[in-house]
Amino acid sequence: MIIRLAAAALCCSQAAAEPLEDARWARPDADIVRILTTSPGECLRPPATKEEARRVEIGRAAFRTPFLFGGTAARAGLSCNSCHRDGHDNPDFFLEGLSGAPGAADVTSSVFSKVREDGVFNPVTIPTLVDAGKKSSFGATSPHGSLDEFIASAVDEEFAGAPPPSVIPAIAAYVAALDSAACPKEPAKTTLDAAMKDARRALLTAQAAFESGDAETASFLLLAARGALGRVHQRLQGDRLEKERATLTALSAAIGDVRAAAGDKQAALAGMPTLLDQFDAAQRSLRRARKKTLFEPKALRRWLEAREEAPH
Amino acid sequence: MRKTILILSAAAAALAAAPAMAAGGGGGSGGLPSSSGPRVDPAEAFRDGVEALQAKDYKKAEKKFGDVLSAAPKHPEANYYMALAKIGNGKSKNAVRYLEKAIKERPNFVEARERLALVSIELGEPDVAREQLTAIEGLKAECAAAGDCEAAFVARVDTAIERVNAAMGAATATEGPDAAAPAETAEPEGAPEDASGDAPSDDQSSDDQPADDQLSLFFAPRDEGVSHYMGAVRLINEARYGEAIADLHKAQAIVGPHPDILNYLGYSHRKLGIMDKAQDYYAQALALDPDHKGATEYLGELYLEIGEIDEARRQLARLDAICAFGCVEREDLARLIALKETDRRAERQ
Repeated sequence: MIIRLAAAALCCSQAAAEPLEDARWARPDADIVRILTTSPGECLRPPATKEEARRVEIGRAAFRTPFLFGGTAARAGLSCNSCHRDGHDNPDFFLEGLSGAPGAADVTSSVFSKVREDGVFNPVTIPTLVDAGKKSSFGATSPHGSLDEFIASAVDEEFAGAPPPSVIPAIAAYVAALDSAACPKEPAKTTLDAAMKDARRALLTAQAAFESGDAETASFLLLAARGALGRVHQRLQGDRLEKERATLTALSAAIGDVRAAAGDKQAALAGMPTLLDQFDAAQRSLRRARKKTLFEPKALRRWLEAREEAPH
Repeated sequence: MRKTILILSAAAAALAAAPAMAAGGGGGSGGLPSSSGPRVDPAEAFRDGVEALQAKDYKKAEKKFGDVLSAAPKHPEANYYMALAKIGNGKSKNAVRYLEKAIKERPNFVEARERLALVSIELGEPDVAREQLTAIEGLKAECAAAGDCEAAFVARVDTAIERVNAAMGAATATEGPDAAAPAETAEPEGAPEDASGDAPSDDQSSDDQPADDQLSLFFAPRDEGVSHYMGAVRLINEARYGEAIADLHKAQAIVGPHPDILNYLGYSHRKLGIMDKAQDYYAQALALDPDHKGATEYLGELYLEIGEIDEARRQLARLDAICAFGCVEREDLARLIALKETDRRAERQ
């Protein structure tokens, strides 16, 4: 057993997992399989009202997509969730030149934005956001009196993001709903179903945004849904999943078609039921192949090992 | 402590992706791996070639830099190293065109000018040597006039002047061009001594999956070349484009041809208003990686800036094809095209 654990620890380098966006921010000596197949678990308190639920869902999708940001961060695939996995701290986070030690980041660096550059390499430990809503002051380097203000400044100044107006308050609502009393007892498994569910939630929230006449937010959420499907697609490697990859690609294109019609509320809304049906059919197809996907620890380990051994 | 990107001298280097900023930012093949790319990994061949030069295996070096130049014919350092390999193989005459190419692509390439001068003396063409000597002296005067001479650069220029003068003097003294052949002809001096850095790996599984042909520079271990690249990203984000270009040149001298570096060279030149050079760099980046998102986006932005909106739309269509799951490069270019169209409509009214 000891030997087996030791061997497991050797697998696999972060470099081997580079094509998987979810592995990019892992420290080099991290247990990549663990990082890619589990997460701390989301401590999301059930919403008290319909309005809160709507905002939290927008915020949740925004929290998980690089499209929230601009510039280097977005292009590198960084999202809020990269640093705050499920809203927690992230001792595995590492970017050389930005982190210093794992779990920290210099948030006043021009790597991501010139606005906050302070000329000093001063990484700070990434904090948990669970129970952040109960605080009275937000942010260590640039304190703000409200979550909305803090998040707005981080998105704009730190990561060059310019999301639709509804998004910042929605992220604040999401973060405020992260409550230690709602934490799961065990870490969550990062499964195919869970990843697809994230994308579907973004689609449903986009549909609600269309219904309320907020086409800009709906369009942003559709883009977030496409990005979420892209991260699933990255986990479909090899000949045996060619059909499933094509299914996901077609689904993403269909979302793009609805998004292209976002300016026409009736047309966009008319397209949503068909889109959701297509989504559900794709998910059924993917489920049948789930054991071959890189959401499965065994398949992931094999794939990583093969990449480690592949000649350069 | 002044902020610095870590420099790990002997670290491995891989490359690939990614960009800079709000204003721009590269954007290499991050996200989905590209499905196409050169058969030869030019950065890996560059690394192998450098190692071969260091080992004085000139045949192998010639072969490797041939591979590099087949993918990136304008890379100045690859041309220079190819010339060194040729000289090492006793083919000094053949080295000339590579040195000329290196100088054409990077006029302040002191080492290439020095080598061309020395080879020219060896070949009995002292006029060419004098021409290069004048050019080298001009480089020194130029940076002095600009007030931005780096001490290392000045020292290298002085060394070059000294060496060329010595070789010319020796040739004159013996009154015979052949007598002036530099002793290092068989073993060319100037081969990189510390071009550390593993080349970008081309990790790839055996399946059909489109793999990253070149890993992202943004996530690569920080050897010196990658550190220069990251430094350039920061400088670009601070709109210090001239300094960024200098860092990018240092990066490509170590890393070899890489689309991320070429893309940011294009970006920096564009921001400085040097459009023809910018366009050329984008073309070089796309020659290495036709699906490079950053170069595709920025080429589209360049077209917008020079009023060729249809060409910009073509780049947008390329991004639609490349980014099957959406990408910020596509979003940013689409936004800028829409803005331009709005402006045009307003102008017409």
